[in-house]
Amino acid sequence: MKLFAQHGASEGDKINEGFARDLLDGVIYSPRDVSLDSLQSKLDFLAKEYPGSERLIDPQYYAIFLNGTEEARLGYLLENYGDYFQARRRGQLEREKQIQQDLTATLKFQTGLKVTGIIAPNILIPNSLNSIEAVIAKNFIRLAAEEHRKLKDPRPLYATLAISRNALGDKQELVEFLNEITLLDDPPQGFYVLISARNAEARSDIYNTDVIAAWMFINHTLTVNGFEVINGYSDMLTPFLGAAGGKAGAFGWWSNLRSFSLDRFAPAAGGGRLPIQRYLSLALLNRIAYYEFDQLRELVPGVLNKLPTDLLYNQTDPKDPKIRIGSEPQRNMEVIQSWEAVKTLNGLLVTGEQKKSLKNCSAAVAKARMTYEAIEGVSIRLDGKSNSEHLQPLAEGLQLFNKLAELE
Amino acid sequence: MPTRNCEFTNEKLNFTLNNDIKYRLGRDAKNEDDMASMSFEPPSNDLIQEAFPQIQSLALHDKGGFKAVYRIEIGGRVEAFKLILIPSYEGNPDADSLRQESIGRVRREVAALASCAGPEIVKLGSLPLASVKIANVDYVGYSEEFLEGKDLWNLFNSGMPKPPEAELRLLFATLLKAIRELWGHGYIHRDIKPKNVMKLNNPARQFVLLDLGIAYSVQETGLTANPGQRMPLATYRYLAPEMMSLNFRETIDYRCDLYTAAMTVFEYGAQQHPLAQSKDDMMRTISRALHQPAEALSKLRPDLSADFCQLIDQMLKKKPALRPANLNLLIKRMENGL
Repeated sequence: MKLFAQHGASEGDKINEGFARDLLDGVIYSPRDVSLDSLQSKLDFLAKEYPGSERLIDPQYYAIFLNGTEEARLGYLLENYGDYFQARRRGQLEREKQIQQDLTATLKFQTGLKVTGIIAPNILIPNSLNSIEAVIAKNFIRLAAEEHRKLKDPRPLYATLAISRNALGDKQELVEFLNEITLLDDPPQGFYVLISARNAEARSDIYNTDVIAAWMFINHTLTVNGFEVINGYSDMLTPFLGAAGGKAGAFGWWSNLRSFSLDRFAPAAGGGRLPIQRYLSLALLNRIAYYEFDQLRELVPGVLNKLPTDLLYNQTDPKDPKIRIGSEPQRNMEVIQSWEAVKTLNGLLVTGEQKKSLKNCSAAVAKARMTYEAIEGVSIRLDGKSNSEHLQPLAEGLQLFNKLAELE
Repeated sequence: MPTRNCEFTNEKLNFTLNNDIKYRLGRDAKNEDDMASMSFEPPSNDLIQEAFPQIQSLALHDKGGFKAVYRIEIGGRVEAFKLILIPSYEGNPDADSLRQESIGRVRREVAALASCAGPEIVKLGSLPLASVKIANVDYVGYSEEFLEGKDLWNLFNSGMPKPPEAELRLLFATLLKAIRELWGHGYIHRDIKPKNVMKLNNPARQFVLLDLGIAYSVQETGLTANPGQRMPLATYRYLAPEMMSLNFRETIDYRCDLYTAAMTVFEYGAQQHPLAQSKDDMMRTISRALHQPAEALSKLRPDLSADFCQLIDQMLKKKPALRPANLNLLIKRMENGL
C-alpha cells in the first residue's frame, strides 16, 4: 500500500521533508492551493530529485458548481486553472458533449505537466447513487478513457469517483452502481476515490460502519476488476483500504486534508484557530493531543510507536537534553509523524494475501481496544477526538465488508 | 423434484413461489440425469427427409425436451441437423405469443451463430433455417457443423481422470473467448454448462461451445411472452444468481456467462458441482445459488495452482461486480500463465 501526500494550503517544506525521510511514495496536488507557476516548479523539482515518485494533480472539478458562488473559497482554481475550471450548472453536464469538452480540457491541461498519471475530472455524487448526479458521474467515467486516448498520452488515467458518505447507505444501490462501472467498454487504468464528509471535523461521518465497509468494498471490487485504486483523504483508513485491495492512500496536514469535504471550498463560516497538535499512535489507531501523549507515554508506554519520528515529540531542557520537558512538536512536523505512522501501519497490516491483511486489521482493532482499556485503567480522560469511538465502526465495518465482498 | 407449490405440464416445468411469483423454467429445468425423461418423440426419418429433401441420410444422435439432433449427410458432407418442435400450446390463452417466442428463439440462435466467426463456437451448416409441418406438428430445422467428440458432462460421468490444470486453463480461455465474441454482438449465452461444451479430438480446436437456444440479446426486443410473469429460461444447476432478480432483463450482462463458465470449469476439473448436490431439488439448488458460498476449488483439487483456484472461486461470487470482467486480461492470464 503506497502512501501519498494530499497537498493543500501552507505546504511549506512538509512534502519535501516527507520524501527526504522516505515516507512518501507520491503526492496529489491541490490546484486550489498553489499557483500554476509554483505547481510546475514543484513537479519539476520532484521529478528531478525523486524520479520514482508518483505525481498527480486532483483537478478538483467537483467544486465546479461553487464557481459563481460569492465568497466560495476556490483559491487559484479561478485565477490559474481557467483552462478547465469554468462555471457549470448541473443541467449543462447532462449533455454528453459538455462532459467530453470538460474532460478534454482537464486532461489536456495535465498532459503538459510532469505528472506520472492523469486524473480525470468528475462531480461529487451528493445523496444517492441512483440520481442524476450519479448518471453524470458515470458518464464522466465512461467517456474519460476515450478522451484520454485522443491525446495520445501514455501515462495512466485515473477516473475520479467522488461520493458523499450519505450516498453509501443504500447497499443495493452501491452494488448496482459498481456493477455498472466495472463493465465499461473503454475503461481507465484506475480510479481516484474520494468519500466526502459533511465537514472535515465530522469524525463520525467517516468513522461509520456503513461508510467504512462501503469504501473498502469499492476498493475491493475495483481491484478485483483490474483497476488501480488511489484513495484521497484516506488518513488512518489507508491500511484498511489497502487490505481491501487499494493501491494507495493519501492525506495531508490539516484536518481538511485528512477528510474530504466540499466544505473546504464553500464560503467560510467564520474564523478558526490553529488546531491542537496530535500524535498518531499505532496502538490506538488514532491521534491523541500532544498533552495527552505527554501523560500517557510514561503511564501506558504501549501508545508509543517506537519510531524515529517519536523524537519530534520529545522536547528537552536546553540545558540538559536528557530531561524531557514536554511533548509538543514543531507544527510543521506533526504530519511527518503521521505519515511515518501510517506508512508503518501499512507495512504491518497489508500483506500480499488479502485474508491475512484483513485478519491483521481485525487484530489491530482488538489491540487498540486493549490499549484504550489500559488508558482507562490509569484514569486519564481523553478528549472527544482522542477517544475510542472509532473502534466500534472499524470492527463492524470490517465485518460488513467481509459480508459484502463475500469473503466469509 | 420440487414437491411444494409446483405444477407440471407436459413440456415445461412451472412452479409458484411465495404465491405471487411464477417461475417457468425451460426444457432443461431438471437434473441432467432426468433429461431423457423429458424428451419428445421426433417424427420418423422418412417424414423428416420428406420435409427436408436436401438431407441425403440421417441418424438420430441425441434428443432433449423439444429438440432432436441428427447426424446427416448433405451435399456429400456430414453435418448436425437440429429439429426443434414448436409446441401448439393448445388451450393456453398466450398460445400465439408463446409460439412466436419459440420460433424467435431459434431464429435468434441461428442469427447469433451466423454472426460469430471464432472457432470457440459451433458453426452453422449448409441447411438454412426452415419452418415445416410434419404430421400436422410444427417444427423448425437447420444444420450446424458436426463435431466429433463428447460433451464434458458425458466425459466426466464416464469416469475419466481429473484433467490437468493446463487443460482447465485451455477450457476456460476457450469459454472466455466465446463469451467475448458473443458479447461483441450483444449476446449473452445464458446456458453455459458441461453438457453444452464439446471436447473434440482436434488438438487445434479442443473445446467448442454449443447451443445458443436461450441466448439473450441486449440489443434486440425481448422475446419472452409475458416477461413480468416469468422467470428466465435456464438450467437451474447453472443459473447465475442475478438471473433470479426480478429486473434481471434490465441488468444482466456477460458476467452471468462468466459465472456459468467458471462453474463448468469447476465441475469438469473437480468432477463435482461447486454448489448443487445430487439429492437436491430445484428449489434447494436455486437457494444454494443465491445464498450459499461455492465450494473452494482448491479443496477438491489441491494440486491446482492457488492463483487458478482463486480466479475460479472469484468468478463464482454472487455479485456480478465481484467477478473479474476484463475478458482480454483474463484470456491473457489463462494463455500466458497467471
